[in-house]
Amino acid sequence: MIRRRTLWRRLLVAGLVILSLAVFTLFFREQAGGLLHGAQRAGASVLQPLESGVSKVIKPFGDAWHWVGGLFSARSENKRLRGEIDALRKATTNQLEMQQENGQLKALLNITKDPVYPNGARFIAARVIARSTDVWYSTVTINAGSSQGVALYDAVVNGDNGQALVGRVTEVTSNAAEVTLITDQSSWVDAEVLPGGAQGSVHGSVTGDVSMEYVDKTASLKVGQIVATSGLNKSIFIRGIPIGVVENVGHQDVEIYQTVSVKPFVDVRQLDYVLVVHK
Amino acid sequence: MRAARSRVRAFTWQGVAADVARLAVMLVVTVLVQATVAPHVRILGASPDFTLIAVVCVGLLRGSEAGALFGFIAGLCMAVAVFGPLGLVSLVLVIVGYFAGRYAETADTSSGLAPIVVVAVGTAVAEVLYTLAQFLLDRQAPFGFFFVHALLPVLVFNSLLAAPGYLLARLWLREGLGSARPA
Repeated sequence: MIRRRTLWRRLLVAGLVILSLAVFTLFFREQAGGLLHGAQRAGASVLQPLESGVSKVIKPFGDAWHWVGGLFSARSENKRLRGEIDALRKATTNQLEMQQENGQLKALLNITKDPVYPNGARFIAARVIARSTDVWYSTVTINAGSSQGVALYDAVVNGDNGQALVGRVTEVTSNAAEVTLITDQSSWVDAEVLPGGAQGSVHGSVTGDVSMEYVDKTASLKVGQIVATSGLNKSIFIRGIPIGVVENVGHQDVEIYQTVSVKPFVDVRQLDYVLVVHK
Repeated sequence: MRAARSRVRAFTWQGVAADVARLAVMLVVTVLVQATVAPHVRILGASPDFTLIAVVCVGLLRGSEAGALFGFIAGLCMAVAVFGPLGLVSLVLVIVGYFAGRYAETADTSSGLAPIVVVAVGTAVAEVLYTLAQFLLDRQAPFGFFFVHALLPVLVFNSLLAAPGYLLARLWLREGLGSARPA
């Protein structure tokens, strides 16, 4: 009896381990429209109302927690923000001058103005209802999906008037979507440094640091310059969405590119509301 | 002897159904708390792993089979809730749930420290397994970062929450039915 029980227990555990490995392998091998991805989307549709309800209930407590946490870092944050304001003020002055010059030149050449968000672009407001809970992934789940007009690979900006890039939609169900944040290691965004226009790709990492890779070594960059989407290479992102500011510039003689540390405008850990930009 | 006998209730299908229902409720609540509450409670970038604590508690209170099965389903539910890779968390939690159950079946868990130790060891094992899996998926992090931002804070968080979590689980599951401990 005991031997049979032991055998059953071992069989069960071995079976569950093999099943987990099989699911894990199939999940990575199949296409986004595959069986397991479909099952995951169906399951997420069921869980989404519950997650949405719980996140609404805990929001005041979460805000209180962040407020208390913010008190400890307020002094250093204030100092850092003052430095950032100085840098941005200088950059804005430069930009205003360039904008004026640009306007005059465009008027001369009779080129029509190209806004950041083209005509027909639609903003879909959504609330963050769940987040990845380990350090390996930087994703959030939002309470808007295909029923609201969200599509795969739509850009996502923060809720404050669409000031900065948050990430892109990587999974969509009828009423929810997964957003892979710019801090995720799998995230690559074609970007340029303004002013100057040095091109590169903004890349996230497991550590949460964001860097701009493949920047031409000859490009002259300064701390405080703005990094924005370039919209190049048929990018899914519209040109000109701000991403962050240059925090540090590093290049070594042996490397053909320079790497730029970028401080994102958005604190992705404290996202509440976002806007999905549907082209 | 009488006290011990009174704790073990007679086997009935209604009792089993009630136990499964309690485990199901515990599973849903844990997954929702992990997906929505845990990310707000961050220290050094890491959040507590309520799912792992729940799996260890089920392993300790209901035995290795229940622990492994609960771990498997909890892992799948977590992957669905946060759009994570299916199967990875399940694999880790099956192993943690099974060994937590085996510990309860073979050792004396009457000490108040037992759940804390099992949760701490389970967390360390789980974090190492996650890291190995991420390494295979080409997501790499420096060892210092892994230790300071992944392993250490989760270990501290989970160990602190182990005792209250175990007490709650014990109250909710009304220990006795289907007890894992050998006669």
